[in-house]
Parts: sequence; C-alpha cells; structure tokens
Amino acid sequence: MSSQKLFHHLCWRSGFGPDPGADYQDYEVEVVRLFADNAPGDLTVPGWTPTSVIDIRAMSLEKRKEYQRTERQARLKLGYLWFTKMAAAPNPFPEKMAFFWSGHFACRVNSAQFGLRYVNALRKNALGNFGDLLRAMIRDAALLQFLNNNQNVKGNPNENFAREFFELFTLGRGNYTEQDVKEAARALTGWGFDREGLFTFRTQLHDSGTKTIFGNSGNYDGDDLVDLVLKRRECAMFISYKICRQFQSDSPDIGLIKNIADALYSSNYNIRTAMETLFRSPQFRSEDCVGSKIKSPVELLAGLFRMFDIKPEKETSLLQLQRALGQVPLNPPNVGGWTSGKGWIDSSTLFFRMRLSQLLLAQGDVILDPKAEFDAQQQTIVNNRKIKTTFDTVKLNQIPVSKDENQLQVLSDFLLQIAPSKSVAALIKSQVTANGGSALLKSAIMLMSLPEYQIC
Amino acid sequence: MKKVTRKEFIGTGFLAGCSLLIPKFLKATGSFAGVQGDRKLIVVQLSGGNDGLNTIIPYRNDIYYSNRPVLSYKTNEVLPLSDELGFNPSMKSLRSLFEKGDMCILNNVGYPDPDRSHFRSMDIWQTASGSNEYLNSGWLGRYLDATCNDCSNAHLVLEADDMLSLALKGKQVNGMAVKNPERLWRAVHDPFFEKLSKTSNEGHHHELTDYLYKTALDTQGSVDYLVAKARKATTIADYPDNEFGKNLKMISGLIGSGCETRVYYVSLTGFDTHARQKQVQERLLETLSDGLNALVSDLKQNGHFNNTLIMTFSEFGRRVKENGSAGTDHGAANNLMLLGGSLKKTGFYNAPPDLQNLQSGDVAHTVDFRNVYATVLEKWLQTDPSIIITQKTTPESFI
Repeated sequence: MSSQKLFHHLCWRSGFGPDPGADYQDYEVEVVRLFADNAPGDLTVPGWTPTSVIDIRAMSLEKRKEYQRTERQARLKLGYLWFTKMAAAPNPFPEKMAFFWSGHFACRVNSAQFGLRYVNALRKNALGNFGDLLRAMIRDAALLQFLNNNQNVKGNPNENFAREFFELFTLGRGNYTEQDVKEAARALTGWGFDREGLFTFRTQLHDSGTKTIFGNSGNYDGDDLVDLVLKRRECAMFISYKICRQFQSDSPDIGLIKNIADALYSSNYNIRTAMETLFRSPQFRSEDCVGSKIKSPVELLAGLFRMFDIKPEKETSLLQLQRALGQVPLNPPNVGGWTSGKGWIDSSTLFFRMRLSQLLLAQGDVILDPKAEFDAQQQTIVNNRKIKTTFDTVKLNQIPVSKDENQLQVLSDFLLQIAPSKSVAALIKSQVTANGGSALLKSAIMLMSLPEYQIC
Repeated sequence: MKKVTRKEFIGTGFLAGCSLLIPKFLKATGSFAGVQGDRKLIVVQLSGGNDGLNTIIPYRNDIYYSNRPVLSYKTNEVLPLSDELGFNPSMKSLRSLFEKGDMCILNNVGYPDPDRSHFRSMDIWQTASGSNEYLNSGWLGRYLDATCNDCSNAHLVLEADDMLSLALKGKQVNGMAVKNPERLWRAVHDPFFEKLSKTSNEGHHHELTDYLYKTALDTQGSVDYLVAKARKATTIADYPDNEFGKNLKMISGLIGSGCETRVYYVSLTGFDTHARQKQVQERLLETLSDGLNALVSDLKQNGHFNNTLIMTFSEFGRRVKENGSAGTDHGAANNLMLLGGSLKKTGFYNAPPDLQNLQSGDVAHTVDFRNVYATVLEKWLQTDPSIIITQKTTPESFI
C-alpha cells in the first residue's frame, strides 16, 4: 500500500478525510500528531445565556412557548457549533472521538444547558481515562434525565440507568445478571441533578443498605459501581469492541479486539493507549481495512463540509440535511445509539447520499421533505424546506497535480478510498470532456457521486 | 447455498410446459414467496400518541366525565357505536364504515411495563420488542427478510414518506420509502446515474462497493416499477387535501393498478395534544376518517377491499385525567382500528377500557400489540410470526 493511501486511511478513520494542504510526514509521526492536542477547551454557545431549567408546567402558555423557543434555538446552535467544529478543526480526532462517545453514552438532549455540559464532559474525557469518563457520565444531568435516574429513589428504584450502565456503557449483554441490575439500581438511588444541570447526591433518597454486585457485597454507590465494573475484563472487551467497530471495520477483527482490550485493561483504561494501539496495529494498517466501512452520515457530511468549506445559510439547514441523512448529533434514535455499516443504507437514503455532492456543490437547492415531528405546530415549518449553502474550491485546487499526471487519477486517489473500476473512470473522463465548465470541480462532484465515496 | 431466483427457476428447461409442477407460491404471485392471493396490508401510524378515549368515547362512563371536565364530549355529541362507546363527532365518515361491518375495533392494546416516551414507545411498537428490549430492526422489515430472502424488491414493503421508518428496516433487507415516485424517479435517473447504471463495475471485487452498486441498481428497478404503476393509477374518491390524503391516494392508486407491494406504511402526525386538544385532535381525526373512507371507497370500487387489511396504531394512548391546559399527557394502552373486507370479527372485538382499574392513571392493556401483529402475520400475510417476533405470541381471532 502506498504511503499516501495509508495516510488518507488514517485521516478518514481518525477524522473526516485528508486535507490537500497537509504536509505529510511518515505514518508514525502522523499517529503521534493525532494525540498532540490536549483536551479541547469547553464549547460555549454564543448569544445564549444559560438559564436554570424551570418547571414549565407552572408557566402560562405564552411564557412556556417563549421558553421552549429559546431552548430549541440554543439546542440547535449547540448542535450546529459542535458539527462545524468537527468539520473544521485542524485536528478533528479529539472531536470525532467525543462524537463516538456520544453514540456510546447515547442521550437525547432535551435541555440546552444540560446538553452543553454533556458535550463538554465527553470532549474533556474523550481521550483520557475511561473510568473518569464513566464517573462523569453517571453524574451527567442530560444522561441521568434521559435514563430516569431522578426517579430512582430508595424503596422505589428505577432500573433504567443501571440496566443501560451494564448493557450499553460497560459490559454488554450476558455479562451481568438481573440481580446485578437490581442491586446496581439501588447503588444509584439518590444520584440526581439540579436545575442548573449540576450533579446532586440526595442523601435522604439514597439506599445506604448493603448491595451485592458480581458476588461482592458492600454499601455501594455509583463510584463503587464504576470500580466494580472496571475490574472486569469483560468491560475492556466490550469497550474495545465498540472502538474497533467504529474505527477499524464494520466487522472488526477479533484478534485486534483482544489486543486493544488488553491494552485498555493493563493501562487502567487509558483511552489514548487503546487508540494508539489501534492505529499502530497491523490489522488497521492492512490493505483489507481500507474501505471496509460505510461512512456514517456525520462522516459523509463533515467530510464534504471540510473539503469545500461548506456553510449553510441557516443553522436549521444543517439540521435538515442531518435529518434527511438519518443522523442528528445529540439526537440518537434511542438509548442504543446509532446504527452502523449497512444499517445506514436503504434505497432512498442511498440516492440522497449519492446526490449530496451534486446538491451542495452544483448550486442546486436541496428540497427536503422529511417526516414531521410529533408536534403539530412544527409540521408546516419542517416540510418542503429549501436549503441553501455556500462553498469554495480552495482546497480542491490545492490537490497536487504535476503536469504529466492524469488529473482524474490524482483526484480519484485523493477523494476515494476504493478506486472505481476502469469503465467507471472512463465514464467520468468522457463526461468531463464532453461538456464545458470547471473540469476539476465537475470531476470531483462525479467522483463523490459514486458509491465508492460512501465508503472509507 | 445460492438461492434460486424465480427467473432462473422458471427458465429451467424441464419445467417448461409443466406448470402444474410449479409450486403454488411462484405461480400465484411472482417473486414474493409465501403469500396467498394478492393480500395487502396498510399500516397507518398516528404519531404523537392519539388520545384514544376521545377517539372512541366511553360516553356512558361517569369516570370519563369526572376526569375530563373540559375535554369530555357530551352524550348527544358522540356518534354512538354501541351502548357504551361512540366515535368523536369529527369521525362521521368512519362511522358509516363501522355500521357497514367494514371495521373491527380492538380496545386496550398495549404492552407490559409501558414506556411513556414518544421515541421509546414508538420504537417498541415499530420493532415489536418488549419494553426492556432494544432491537435495531422493525417487524415489517423482518417480515421482508423472512419472505423475500436475498430478493431485490425493496418496494414490496413500501412507506409513503421520504425517510424509512424503523418498522420497515430488516436485518438483511430494508423496505423502501417513497413519497413522490416521480421525484425519486428523476433522482435515480439523473443523467450521471443513468450512465453509471449502464457501466460495468467489473474488476472490482470489493464486498461493500458491490453491495452499494447492487442496492443502487435494485432501487432503480423498484422505482421504475413503481412509477410505471403510479402512472397507470386512477382513483375516484376525494382524499383530504393534505400530505396524509396525498399519501393515501398514492397507495390507493398503486393497489388499483395491480402493484405487487404487499405492505404499505403511512403516518399522520401531530397527535401530541398537551394543550388545546379538542381543536387539534378533531382536525386530525377528521383527516384520518375522511382519508380512510376515501381509501375504502376506492378499494371497493376496484375490487381490492376484500384483499386489503388496514390497521391503525399510535405509540400510546393518553392520560385519563386531563391536564391544566385543556390537553392530556402521555398514557399507556390504546384502541386500534382494523378495516377490511375479510374481517372475521367486526364491531368491537373486546370490552371497553376499565376506567375503574387504571395503572398509574392510565388505561391498562388487555391485548398485547405483539399478538395483534402475530395475527396479522400468520392469518393475513401467512408468515410464521415466531421468526419475526422475538417473544412468544398467541394469535387473536379478528381475521
């Protein structure tokens, strides 16, 4: 495999594709660079003053509407901000990692204030220690609210959070018993949050009796739960599997999963160590690994936004695009997070995905008409939106083409991880020469309209 | 083992002129195995949680009136269906279908340990899971998996929308979402894609790429088929002048023109009536009622009503007690309507909601929705429900 191909592979998996201007050193140097940035600083939503979450049931209808409107706007801004950060960051790896964790600790964000804290907690710990991340998550208002832990009280436990803690966050199915869930729920009783979205431990609602989890007994609370679960190798295996499925392949290599689980376990769950092991592994660097993943909608869209510096006219336009593609950050379909691999593809979305570059770059308006939300009032606003965006071709023009090289070949090598067949390449060549206009942009659009562009 | 397609099968020499030996399922309907006759299922999703108690009103029940001082309908406003229950005043057209025996109403349909989140409860209904179970595929998608293994006809399970609901996503294959066949036709026949589809993808043995090329080609095939049928479609009835009406009209037209689609899926949204419920719900129920009435009228006209089963559902019913803003909050079990010319049981299938024994202020379920699905799968679509629904089911007797 050429060193350029391997570099592009690393760029797609750790971020959203290569940057034409990038000064590529060797692979090892590039891996080190990914980890050069410290945790990014907190995101803030400009023009929005966080207010405490108010009990809207006590409000008048008008006040409630106004409050909900402001909230919706702030959540929209937060989603917009985070996505544009992912697409534009010089090193997008920490953001992509945080986004991966937002699928792992899947949470539908209902409050802008809580959502902002949630995103920043993920970003802060994305490449840190998994134990710290877990401890942040069991204190996170958005997640506690989403999984009903405010209703989890002594004498009347709500098992929702405890169940997902084992099933989705740490161990996976089959590695705990129903009794463990019941006892873990007791350990988490009284773990709640206030209206500012700050964690509160409500002592009087906490069950301080003895709990037995995985055969150990004690007066456990949430932090003890984290310690108990981290001791289990199954936890390292589960997290490793999730990492490999996201970063290596839609069907990850079992040997690699084991190696990374070992790296996690022996480093006391250092995520950075796990990711370094992954990127340096022969499985990741193999020819088979290149092009073995279907891009998620966020990867697809952020890749295009990054390459062409695309700016939607309105924040809602981005949301509409994400909805039509089927992935809205901070809005996963359910607690299980987003689908992966072929799960992203059905007949209608495939054509929308294949037409995306044309729609965004060929000056055509995107007309979207997705299902309305549950709220009747939103129906007319959502339907039949026209989406307008701007873009530039600065980066495209930076793709280095020396005079004697075949421009289409260079472009194809740069934009696609899997080369199209000879006849498909010939088709594009004939299309470009047949009509006028910017050959470079036209070739790029056609290459990005191929099924091959759906893969990284 | 490689699956033999119909074309390959029928094309085999020894079968030529020997039609009696062709298995029944191939002879009857072409590419889709296992379905008798030409049966259609239309699922109508009422999104947002329709208030079942103000749809089918217990107009002789004091508990209903005492819980709903603002939202209740007076006895003389209700369109009576039985001594105890009657339709919302806005549902005149459905009442005539009820009287003709074209309809069966199931009360108190739900599931144990009900979830009151829209998203979660909708997932439960769409995936046919239990409330502690998370599935990534929908019941109709798995039906497509079960009956159409490795087949390329996504349009056999068709949603009238631009985006595919989880209900229609299978483990192996997905159904298809089309709101406007002509628009999708223009998209898939974009000049570049048109040329691409005629270009060989050889020398390219890459599993994922091949899969995408195949899906794209299959989609073009499905869209061509649907557009050909849609262009031939004629409908007579008057449909409501809104999205829902348009979608029903498309479905009606496709059925009328002999389209091979087995399952249609359509949504009516806006039922989340926390405030000022009456005006919002009445408008929606009128749309629902008039839309279904138009659909039934066309199906009767073109002779397909006996082959069609229409089923409505919503992710949950609403709280019995009204809230302070002339609305209702999220509840649990709900009624479900079935329409068709081949119902075994018409009228009311079971007893009205028991308002004396509520669960956390909500109607308790007496019929599990998965048993309703199982009945539809087994007795209507002639498919073994045990391979589609994870939990053990007992069929009901409405078909």
